[in-house]
Amino acid sequence: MAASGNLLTFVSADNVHIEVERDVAERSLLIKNMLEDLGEATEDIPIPNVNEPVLRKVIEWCRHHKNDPPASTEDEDSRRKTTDIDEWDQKFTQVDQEMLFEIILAANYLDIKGLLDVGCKTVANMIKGKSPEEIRKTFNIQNDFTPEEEDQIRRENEWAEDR
Amino acid sequence: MAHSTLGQVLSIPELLVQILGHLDVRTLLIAQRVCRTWATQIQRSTYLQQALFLAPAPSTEIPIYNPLLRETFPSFFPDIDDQNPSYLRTPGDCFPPLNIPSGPSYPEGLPAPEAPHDHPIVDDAARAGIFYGRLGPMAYPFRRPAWWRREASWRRMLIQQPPLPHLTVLRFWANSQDRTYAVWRIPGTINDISTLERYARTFDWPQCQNPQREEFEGTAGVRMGLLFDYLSCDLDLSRWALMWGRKAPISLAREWGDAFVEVYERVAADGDFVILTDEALWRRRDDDADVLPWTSSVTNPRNRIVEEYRQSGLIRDWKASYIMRVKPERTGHFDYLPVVVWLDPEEVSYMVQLQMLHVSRSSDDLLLAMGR
Repeated sequence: MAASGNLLTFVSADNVHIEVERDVAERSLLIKNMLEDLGEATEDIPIPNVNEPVLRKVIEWCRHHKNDPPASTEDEDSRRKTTDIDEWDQKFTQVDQEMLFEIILAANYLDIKGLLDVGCKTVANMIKGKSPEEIRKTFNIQNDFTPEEEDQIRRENEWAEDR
Repeated sequence: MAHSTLGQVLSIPELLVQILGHLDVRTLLIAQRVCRTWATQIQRSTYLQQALFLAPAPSTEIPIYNPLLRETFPSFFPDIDDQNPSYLRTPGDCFPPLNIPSGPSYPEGLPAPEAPHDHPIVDDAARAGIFYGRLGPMAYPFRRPAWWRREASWRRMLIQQPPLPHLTVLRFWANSQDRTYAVWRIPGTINDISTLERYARTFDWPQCQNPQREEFEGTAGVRMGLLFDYLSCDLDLSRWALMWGRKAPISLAREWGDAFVEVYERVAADGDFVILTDEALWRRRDDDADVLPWTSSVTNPRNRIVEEYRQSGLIRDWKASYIMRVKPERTGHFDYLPVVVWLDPEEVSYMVQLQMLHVSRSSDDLLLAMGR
């Protein structure tokens, strides 16, 4: 199953072999750096943290975005807080919560900045406009404050709850 | 939740910070109350503190006004184009709009003019109404304690990123002979009215018991608490206008000419944001003399704020004076008087026809300047 030419083979955590074009795979900085270190990849590339369905989703994203300009590290214009997500990515992220968070973990592990951004924006959009109670409920988070601690934070920011 | 993917993502600090970094300022403030992990990450991350306008951003960043403060305190910010959010350096304008040119420049013997009939600002209460009427805290009186409390986070928020180092106050006095001005720079390390009071005390005499001025040195930027409290509580300041940008407001430039423009632009050069105050900018009505500004908290929202501050212990008394106790950074005077006259409308149209007059309308002013 050794890859040749422009095709690489990923092996998912659940041991499924998936063929990927090299330019698609290189959307992942982890893979790109690894290939640069290895020169010609002749072996299968194990992706130990990512299961097949998630890996296929990630590859689907990379394939769609393979011609995007490379993300520059100085591209930190997030102070502008755009949570605009392009239409294709919106459809792409219409998955259940479990899959969405799996994709974020995989994008983080594989170092795919664009995909990580899309995932984080999608989660941020789920938080926007919600009260603390609603946020906890959405993500199943325990309120571990003491009443005094919570009250102090509430007193500081209660004005912002006026809309 | 510890073993779920969700829990895994939210427990990796970098990922949590990255997710929260996409939130708007309001939601980010509120998100601190979700759980300890979120609160800690939001309070510890320099990136998120900058996004909340609580920590200064590096001066290399593209300037931006605090969007949440713009939304809740719109009178304090210029009307800027949302399509073009980097429009931070606005051309000169001021708010509330100026209305009447100063008294001393009426030629002898001419009757004092009336304010234009459609002008909304007829007295201090009307000006305060225009200014404070649009503010978030004024919407519901019963919600106001949540805004006024000392620890309310808007007080600590920078009005813009990268921050302004100090608040600039430019004050004019006029009499029939000349006009003088003074410029103050209030350090951005002062967050609220009680700190401003402490700062003013460093200038009081005798100085042996006073707080040390070094205490107020630092690199923090101008925060909303200073701006709001100073404008609202310094009762030396009954007539004021806020200005943004480095160009002098057109109406004032027309009235006061090049000397004023020069002073203003020098003052604004490293401040960009100036509080202009001048008793002479607004003609005192005869009845103003009887109605002291702090007597009418029913009709004047600014006085209502001061009264509520006093009741909640934020300030001690009504007649507080702050800036006048502080030594100005610079003083100076203009030695020529601009020519400004007020005429009745018929006369105006006649003179315009004869091209003796140039008529301009800006900031609700009708300001007439003699043609040269």
